[in-house]
Amino acid sequence: MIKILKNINKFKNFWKIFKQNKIGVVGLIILLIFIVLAIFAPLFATFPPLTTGAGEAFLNPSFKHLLGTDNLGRDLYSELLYGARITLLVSFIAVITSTVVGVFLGAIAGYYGGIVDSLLMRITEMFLVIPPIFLALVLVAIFGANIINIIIVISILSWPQTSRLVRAEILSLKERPYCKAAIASGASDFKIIFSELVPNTMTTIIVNMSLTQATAILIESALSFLGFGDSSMVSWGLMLNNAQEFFRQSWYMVFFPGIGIFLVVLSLNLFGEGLNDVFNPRRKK
Amino acid sequence: MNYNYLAKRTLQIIPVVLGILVMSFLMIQLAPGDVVFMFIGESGADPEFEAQIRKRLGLDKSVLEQLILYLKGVLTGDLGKSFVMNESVSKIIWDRALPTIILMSSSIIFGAVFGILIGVYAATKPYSLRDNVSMVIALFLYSLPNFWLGQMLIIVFSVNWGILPVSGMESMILGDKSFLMDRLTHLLLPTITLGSTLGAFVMRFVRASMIEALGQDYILTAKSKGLSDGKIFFKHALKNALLPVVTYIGLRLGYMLSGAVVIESVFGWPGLGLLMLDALFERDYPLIMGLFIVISLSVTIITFIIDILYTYLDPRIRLK
Amino acid sequence: MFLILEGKNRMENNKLLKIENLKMHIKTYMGTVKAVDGVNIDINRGEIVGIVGESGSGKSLTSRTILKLLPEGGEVVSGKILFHNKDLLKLNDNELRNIRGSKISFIFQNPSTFLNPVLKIGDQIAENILLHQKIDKREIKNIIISVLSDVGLRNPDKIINCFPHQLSGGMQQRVMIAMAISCKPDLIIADECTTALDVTTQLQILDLLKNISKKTNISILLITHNLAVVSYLCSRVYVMFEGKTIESGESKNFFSRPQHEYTKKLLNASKQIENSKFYSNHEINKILNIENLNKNFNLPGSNEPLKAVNDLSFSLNEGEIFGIAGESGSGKTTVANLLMGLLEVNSGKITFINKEINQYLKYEKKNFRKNIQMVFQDPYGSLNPRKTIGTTLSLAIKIHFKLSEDEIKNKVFELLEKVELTPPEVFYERHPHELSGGQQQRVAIARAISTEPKLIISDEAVASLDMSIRSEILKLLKKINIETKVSMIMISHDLSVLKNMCNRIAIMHLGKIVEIGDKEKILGSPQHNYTKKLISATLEIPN
Repeated sequence: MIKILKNINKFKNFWKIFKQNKIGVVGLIILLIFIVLAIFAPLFATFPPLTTGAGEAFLNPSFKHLLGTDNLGRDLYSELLYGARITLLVSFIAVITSTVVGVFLGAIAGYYGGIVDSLLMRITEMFLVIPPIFLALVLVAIFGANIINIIIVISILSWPQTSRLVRAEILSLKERPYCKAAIASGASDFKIIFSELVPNTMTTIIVNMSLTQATAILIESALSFLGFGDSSMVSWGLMLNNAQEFFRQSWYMVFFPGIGIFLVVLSLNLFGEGLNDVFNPRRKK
Repeated sequence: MNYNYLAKRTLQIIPVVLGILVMSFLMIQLAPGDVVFMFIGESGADPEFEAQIRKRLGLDKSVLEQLILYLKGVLTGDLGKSFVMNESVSKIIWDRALPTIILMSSSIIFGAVFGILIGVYAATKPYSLRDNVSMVIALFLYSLPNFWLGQMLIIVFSVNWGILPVSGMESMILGDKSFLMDRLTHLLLPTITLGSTLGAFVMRFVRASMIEALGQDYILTAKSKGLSDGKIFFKHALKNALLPVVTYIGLRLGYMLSGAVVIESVFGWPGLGLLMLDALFERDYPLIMGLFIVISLSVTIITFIIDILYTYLDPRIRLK
Repeated sequence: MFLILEGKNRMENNKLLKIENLKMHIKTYMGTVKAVDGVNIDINRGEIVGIVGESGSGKSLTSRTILKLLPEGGEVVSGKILFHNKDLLKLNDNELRNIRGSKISFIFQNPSTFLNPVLKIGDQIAENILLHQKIDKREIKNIIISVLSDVGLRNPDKIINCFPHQLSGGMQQRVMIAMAISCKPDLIIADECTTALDVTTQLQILDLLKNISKKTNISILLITHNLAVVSYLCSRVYVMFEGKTIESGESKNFFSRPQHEYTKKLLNASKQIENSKFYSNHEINKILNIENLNKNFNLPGSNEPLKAVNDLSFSLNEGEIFGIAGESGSGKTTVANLLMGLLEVNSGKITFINKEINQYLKYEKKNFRKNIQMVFQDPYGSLNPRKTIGTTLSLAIKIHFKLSEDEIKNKVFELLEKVELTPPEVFYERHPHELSGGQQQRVAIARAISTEPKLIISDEAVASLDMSIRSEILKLLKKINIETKVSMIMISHDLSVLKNMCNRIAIMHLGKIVEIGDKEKILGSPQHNYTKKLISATLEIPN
């Protein structure tokens, strides 16, 4: 019971500081708006997803079609709302899985060093030199472009960065006397890594999650844009792919899905910046 | 010349190179369906040819032996033959490499220059208006999906205003423009699109690097000698701050090539990215894997060269 | 009357620097810090004056304010700084820059970070000279070479083309001094300039400064927390506390007759702790025996491994306090890490309570960990910043004793009381950053005794603490030794710390024990050359 109260207190303190950081707050607000829109998409949308012929093609924004229609008469506004779901869901699941894997591997590699560490470093270096989209495209081409695969692929692309970050932190924390003292006290390796060291990297991990999700969204959109996303679902990237042929007829087919991606990614980056400022304040002496 | 470091780095990239090759081998092996069809296409080929391919790939042997065969082949430059285009994969890639090289080079130069200039400018007065505005600009730039940026630029400059070409690397008919001008106008928008993301990251990095350099102890020493602020900034801090930028750009090469694929698609730029997309649509696996290997290894080697270059630039590593 | 005036004028002319009631405040987001709050200092020509104080006393900031090298948010609120009778605070930026580096120059604490790593040594010195004097560029090289030899550097022509990292700490500091004297200043301000150096190097640098001042009549303002350094070098001393100069006087009188309460406290803390009885049951059990211990490290870029510990042998009895003295690089910390099992031994035998350590680590790890504990140098780093004191102290207890939650809590309270952190309930809930350095170290000691060990290793446990706190912690350790009869190994680079703590002392140099024996014998009649060097370099306050 006391623990819960302690945590609520911690959160209140955090919020007090975070509130002052305008950038972070703006990011959080935009993000929350999109999350709400995505969750309640069926409520807000005026047409079910992928309804061709909801209106005439290439209509300008009007009262009936808030953002206009595309080449097949689909209502852009509704498409946008349903697209938000995919964008947020895919990226979120990918971030969670890649972070769990990344933290685990990075912590083990950082703590034990030696062969385990070298192995991890070489593997993450591989992911650094292979252009992400290339790898994603090859994997999707071989294993198929459905939503599960895409989540897996994005997770595979995201974990190396996280593990490198965690590894670097653990490497330096490992040298701190309190870690040596914990060893001297007789604590098990597992306890030392995950009870003493990793909690001290939490702030880095959380900031990283926000930024990783931003990247994940950009990758997912790019994949859909290139035609390798899950074509059975509405996706902003796919909408932009579709719009590629129709620049002359309708610029809003390009504008709105893109702005959507931009705003969500921006909000995540802003939120991450805000978190970073709270956790690592740049003190103006 | 620090030969120890050179040797160490060389030893380090060998596993990476091997890893990439093994990875591509595994991807082929793990694909659903019979491996053969990846190399002869799904439409039926005559059984004799199929048997030939099976033999050549060593599909009747153990996986380990197949791997060795594969490695041998790749390391001697044999990436197989594209059955769709009926030419050796190596040749196809070689022919299409130049446009991508041009695009990457111009984008890197643009992004680096742009990023360094603004990053240094922001660092002249940290936490001031110019700094905050610059950082917000950077934030916006790297939050943009670059393909969308490309599309919007095309709409504004090519479709609406018509001052720049819509796509491709060159015009069909030159008209009254010179050859060089034509190429440059085609190169402009793709460069800006691809380079702006790099510019945003470089901006942030340079700014942070400068601020860190300015906070170092030796800056106090410089001040205590009576040096002017400008001299301290440009002679003492800048050199220290810009040193790691070289490595940083190397780190972003993979991501840039990633972006290049998408940009080539948006602008119809006939480079390796577009080639990859075509290959994917055609299910031309030899070409797909060949491109994967070539691109990955290129980045590896270039990063390696940049690393070596850095050791030459930083006196702390150069002389030890 | 005329003669009296003339005498007074001469005195005035001799006065180089006069700081009158200087106040400098720093605006932070947490409020205004009165960093310098009333400082009065006089410096005459050719004098070496010292400012002593503990951390936070404002001594460094005072020195930097002289040339207006203020930190972010700093502002001079009142006062005068008269240099050759001109108020430095009234000068504009250009005039100030003319004085910096040419009439008044600085030497800082840590030469490795205070020299620009990507510029050559020659460059950095030339920069200073060219800025302030009109000298032909062709002449510059010779001037730099001569000034480098003036500070005792051999091969100055090679050093000109070197980068800072290619030189040792002592050499780097000499370079800084060369830079400071290159324009023949009137005053050198040395801010903790020997704190980061080895004892023997420190002595060399102090002698160098003494000689320079004598030869060229340059005044030196020496900032330090080390009273022994001040008594060695300075003719006059100022004591600073909380931003104010609270006492001053001639060096020779000062240490024998301090006036102010704080000064007395400072002196007492720095002097030796009173001799108290040891638990001496030496003839009984040997609890630790080390035979021919060897530990090598492989250095990158070198074929020869570094022999950090080289054929080391000694033994320890129950209840003994054993001291290991040595400079950095002597291998003393490596010995500690080997004993703790944090590093693997290359060869040799360590027997602890009748069993070899290897056996312990393989089969009885927990038992081993229970019986040997360590107190580290960095008090803040030795506590997990995210855990409360209570949680940190409970960790070892939970592992080694089967007790209920309440029993553990009580034990922690007991421990806190033993290390004089009362009321224990309050400290139980605190986080490390809420404690002072001394308090943090007490917690570290509490943790060390929490498992009821047979041996505690203290690795420079007081080196990072202020003078006044140091003696308290050492007293605490002694108390624990007497009460619980736990053996201790005290590792320090500072012989004055070991002087009255230890029964026996071993002197380590480059991985070997060069001399070992009873404390009186070692300190009274040292045999080995290195021991003699170390003893003489250990400065002490005269009685």
